[in-house]
Amino acid sequence: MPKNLTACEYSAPALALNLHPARRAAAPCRDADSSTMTRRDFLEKAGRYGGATFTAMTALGLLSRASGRGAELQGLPAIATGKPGTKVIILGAGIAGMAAAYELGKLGFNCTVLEASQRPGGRSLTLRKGDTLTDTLGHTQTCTFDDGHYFNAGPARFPQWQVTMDYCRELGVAVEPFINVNENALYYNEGVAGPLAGKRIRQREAKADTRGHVAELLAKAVNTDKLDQKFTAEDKERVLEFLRREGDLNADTLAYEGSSRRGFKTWPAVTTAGTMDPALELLALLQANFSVHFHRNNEFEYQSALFQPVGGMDMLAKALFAKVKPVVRFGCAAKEIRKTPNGARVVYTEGAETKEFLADHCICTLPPPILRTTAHDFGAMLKNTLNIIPFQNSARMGIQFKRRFWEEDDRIFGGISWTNQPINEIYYPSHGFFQPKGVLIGYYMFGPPSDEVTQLTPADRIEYAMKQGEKLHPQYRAEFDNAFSVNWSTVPHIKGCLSHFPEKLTKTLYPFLIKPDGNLHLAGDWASHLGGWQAGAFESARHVVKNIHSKVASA
Amino acid sequence: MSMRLAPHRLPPLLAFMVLAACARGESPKTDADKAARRDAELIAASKDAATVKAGKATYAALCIACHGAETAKGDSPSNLFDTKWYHGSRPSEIERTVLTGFLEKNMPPWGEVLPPEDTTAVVAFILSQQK
Repeated sequence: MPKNLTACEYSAPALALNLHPARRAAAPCRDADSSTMTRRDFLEKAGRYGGATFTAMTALGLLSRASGRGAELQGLPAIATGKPGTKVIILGAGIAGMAAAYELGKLGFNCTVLEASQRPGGRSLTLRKGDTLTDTLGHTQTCTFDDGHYFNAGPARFPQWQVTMDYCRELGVAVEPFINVNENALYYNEGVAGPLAGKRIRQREAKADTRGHVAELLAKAVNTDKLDQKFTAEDKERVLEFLRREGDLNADTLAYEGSSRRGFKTWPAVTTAGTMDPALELLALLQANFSVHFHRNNEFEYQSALFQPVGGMDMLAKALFAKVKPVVRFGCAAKEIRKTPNGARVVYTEGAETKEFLADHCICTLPPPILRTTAHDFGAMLKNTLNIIPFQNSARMGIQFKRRFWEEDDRIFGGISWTNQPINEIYYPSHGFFQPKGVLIGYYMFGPPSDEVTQLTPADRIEYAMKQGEKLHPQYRAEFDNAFSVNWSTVPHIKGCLSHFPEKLTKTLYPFLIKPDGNLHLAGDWASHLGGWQAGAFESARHVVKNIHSKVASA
Repeated sequence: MSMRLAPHRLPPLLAFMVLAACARGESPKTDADKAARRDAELIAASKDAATVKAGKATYAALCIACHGAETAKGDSPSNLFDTKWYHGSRPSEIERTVLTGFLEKNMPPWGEVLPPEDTTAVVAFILSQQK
């Protein structure tokens, strides 16, 4: 490593995506050579020369080793240096590739990571001032956000139960709450039937009124024995009591007459207890179809609490990179992935040169669109499985506004507003409250709308976001400052966003993804049941690490 | 890009002739005959409620993530429910796309892993939803 660089810096000549130099030193680690070395700094530096220090750090309580939901790596013995089978080539320096190198490194393996682009992190991409991106269609954008603002183009959050939280702790990445649900945020559906079409409705209003009306219907049905379920008198009273609470019903009449849960027209203070608007009608709520948005608060991945790394989602990738930097080589694109009698052979290009790498194992973390169009020796069923992974496109836009009008005018501090327009959702930042400017995510789309916007010029994408976003926030055009958009199907070396392996095929084809094919292994969020999450990449990497360790340890 | 010919609006006389030929057990002689025969079979499948229902289920399981629901908006090759086809609008051409895919565009070759009845049903469902 050049002496003038800290462990967190990396030299990245500008190619497809160029992170601004001022940002490269922002990784959450310290220069262990500084004169203000702490005990942790000392141990981290010492750790580069011997895995035993890691154990010592854990014993000292300075480090909590990540413990996944799948493969358990705790307690695995390190492999003796030089033991046959310990040379591993890893394709891709995203979360899966770097996590595999990191965990295998702890276990004594000799890893090399080949990354086609000039930056680590893969889809864990955060854009800040000065960053540039040239997509495969030839559009080049340069980020002009103000200092301190950022846009997560890929993953943007994680729930507390995921192993991502563990790795943030282990790698010293500070986290803060990600506000996924904000009851003050909006629903806006147009082109639907009923009086609520094209109207901004606060989420709390739609939820409280829908729950109240449905609870009333159910309570009255229970009370008139119109349900198939036969209740005893005691059971009936228990159900009614639940429904009274669930819907905030009138205790005597079981009617829903509105609720403070839906918020106020005039909020409570000293001289007033608050006044409410009348409840929205059930039929109008159902016609407006707001309930299609409710589920996003309920799915297990999105339940509170969710978190984000302080400063951007790539802070975790940078911290991971700091651990494996010596073994990562940028600008190396795999061209052939071959089996050998006892290992693997990778043909790759580095600049104008074609080179070859022989290893005992190869871990392929290239996204499926890249992997399945790279010459390989995967067996027929694995090849077929790779070919049918529905690796979706998605499109996201970060928009900087001159004023945080969503906070100042609408009192929406974080969270997500939902709409049935193609832009789908608007994320408000969960950080930087009260700052004069702010960057929100103006659209997050999948499917045909994301493919349509991908074909637009960056300027036309902005108009696309403006035209729809201003229906939720009329301030959009007056307050617009600048924007940056990412369409994942056109990001070089990635060419897609994520996939959820089809449940219909989990018993037949999915097993081929997670089973070694000779000494070739696949890892990535798309080779897990956590598609699209960094946690899927971590878990998948851990699964492969355990497989390789087991094979070598038992040899 | 090819112009769209609404599959269910294949000229009735042509469809009748093809089906009649099939009924007589005549083997199609040319690729064009085979394609016309397959077009007719797929159109017939798209009018069979059970086949369409099965196709809808498979579509929801395997296709909807990238192609969206029947209400999909957006002018792109992935929108199968608008008025434009980018890789052939004939039923047999749509089926060919489903079977062989376009890997470079992230369209899987489903013929490698799905039985023919599933791919036929998916195509039947798509045809049934053409406006």
